[in-house]
Amino acid sequence: MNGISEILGINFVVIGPTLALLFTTLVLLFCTITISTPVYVKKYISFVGILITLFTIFLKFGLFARDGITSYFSEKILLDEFSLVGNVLIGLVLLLTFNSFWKTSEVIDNKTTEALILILMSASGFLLMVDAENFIMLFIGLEIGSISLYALAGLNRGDQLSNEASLKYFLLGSLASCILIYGVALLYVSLSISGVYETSIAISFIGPDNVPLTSLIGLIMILVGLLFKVAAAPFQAWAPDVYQGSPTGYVGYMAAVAKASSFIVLARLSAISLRFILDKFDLFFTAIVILSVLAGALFATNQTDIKRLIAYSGVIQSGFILSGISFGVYGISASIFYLITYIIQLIGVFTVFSIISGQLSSDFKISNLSGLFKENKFLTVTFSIFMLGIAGLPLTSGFVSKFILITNLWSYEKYLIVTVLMLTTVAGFYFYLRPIWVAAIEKTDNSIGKIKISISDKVLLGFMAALTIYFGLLPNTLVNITRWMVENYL
Amino acid sequence: MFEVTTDWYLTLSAILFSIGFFGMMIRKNALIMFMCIELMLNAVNLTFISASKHFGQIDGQIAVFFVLVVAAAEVVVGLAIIVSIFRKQSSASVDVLNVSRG
Repeated sequence: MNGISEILGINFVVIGPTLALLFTTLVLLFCTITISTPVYVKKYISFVGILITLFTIFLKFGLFARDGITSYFSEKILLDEFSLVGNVLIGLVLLLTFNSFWKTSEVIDNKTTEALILILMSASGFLLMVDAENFIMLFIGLEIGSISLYALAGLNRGDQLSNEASLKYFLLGSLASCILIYGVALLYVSLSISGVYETSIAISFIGPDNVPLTSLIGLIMILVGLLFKVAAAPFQAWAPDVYQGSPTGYVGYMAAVAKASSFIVLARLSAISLRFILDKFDLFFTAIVILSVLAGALFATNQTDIKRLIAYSGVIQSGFILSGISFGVYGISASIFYLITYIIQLIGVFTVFSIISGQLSSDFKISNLSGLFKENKFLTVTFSIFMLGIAGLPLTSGFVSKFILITNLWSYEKYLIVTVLMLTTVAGFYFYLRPIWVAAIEKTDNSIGKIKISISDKVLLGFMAALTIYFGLLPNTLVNITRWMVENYL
Repeated sequence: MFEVTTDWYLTLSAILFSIGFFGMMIRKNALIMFMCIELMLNAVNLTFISASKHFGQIDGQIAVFFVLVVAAAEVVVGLAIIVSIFRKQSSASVDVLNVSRG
């Protein structure tokens, strides 16, 4: 018995986090259907489920320390540095957004359990996605995660914007999935492979110069499918509408989890599958990076809705992160650093929004922030820290991440991209500082009254703001972690 | 006279995928766009099956099962979303979805 499961590589610790989340959703479903459970019990169940998930992620570190990089389930699931960091990131996103998505689920009428189940299922799908070695597995994980997110965007059914966001997200997201899976099929047709490591082995076997055009197109289609999910231009059209229309309490989670997992997968593809032919994709990546930062900056300047502004800023940040991923291993470590710090700021910004404008609101104008500073000092200060972090002001983590990224690109001699990125950073201060100006400095007659913040929100916001400052002053720990992540792939 | 080789199937699936893709770009009706997505997924299935038959491997055929399951799941969620919009404005055209723009 033991022999067979060892040969097949069946190991339940590796998919432990996914199983833990799945089990939590089943318990929630059971509690809703059979016995009428009070709402706070559901809260504890889902919170304990997330804690157990974090514990199983911790167990994976033990397995990794013992066995190193290993494939499981007959080369379907991979345990390497990328999957560990991806797991930790998704666990962190769940933990940091738990408060805001719980509050949103509480006020959404009669759909508390549905919302929780959708969120936990999507997290389990994305966990599967960052663990996947086989591309089919990657596709399934991506779909489990995304389909839950489509439904989550439209959960506030009374609101027309929410419906609209859901349909747009669904149509464009499915198109991206179709493109991705057709890329996998083309790769299978041309080289009879469908795995991350198989790709690099096949390419080194036939030689980088003899790679058939079909498999190059296939790889590009896989990359396009993933770039859709991170909203890099020219595939960014869905992001502003979805961010604007979805219930504010969920947007932080939706944006962060999709970005984190897709970028981890992109980093792994770039470090392993494409390592011998990365220079063939130079033009593709350069075009996407420059388009993303320019289109994001161009559209962000004239937004009146602040959630759309953050969406377009997300397009710019995608360009930044992608620029590191696409040009080599040191760039990948810089990008992962950028990704981690950006996700903390993103979640922080959306937590502030959901506190100010209510959990279910879809529209949120910049002018709604006016006079925030008068009565709500804490909210304004944390909001400003997050915005300045995204903008990249010194003393915040945003500056350090941009600095590391650009110095790395400089050493790869990508002068064109460096110039564009620097200019965008400077231009970005205009639209990042405007909401802060409206909230804190501009004089206004109808300022926002005192907003009650719960203790948990206060602790969370303080923690995220402290992290933003901490990584800006002492980035060494995180830099070492990201260096450790890539040192096997040099 | 004509021998039907794997190439024919692959070409057919590429044509089907392109039809789905351009339909997605051109058509405005959400249901038609939805059908285009299904068409593209089935083109992927055809590619997998013909390649699998060509190589004499089982991998591609297994992949088809997974793609089919995913397509079914997408149908469920997608139709639910379209129905919930249709109830509000009695039209499935994406032209009326113009509240959020900028």
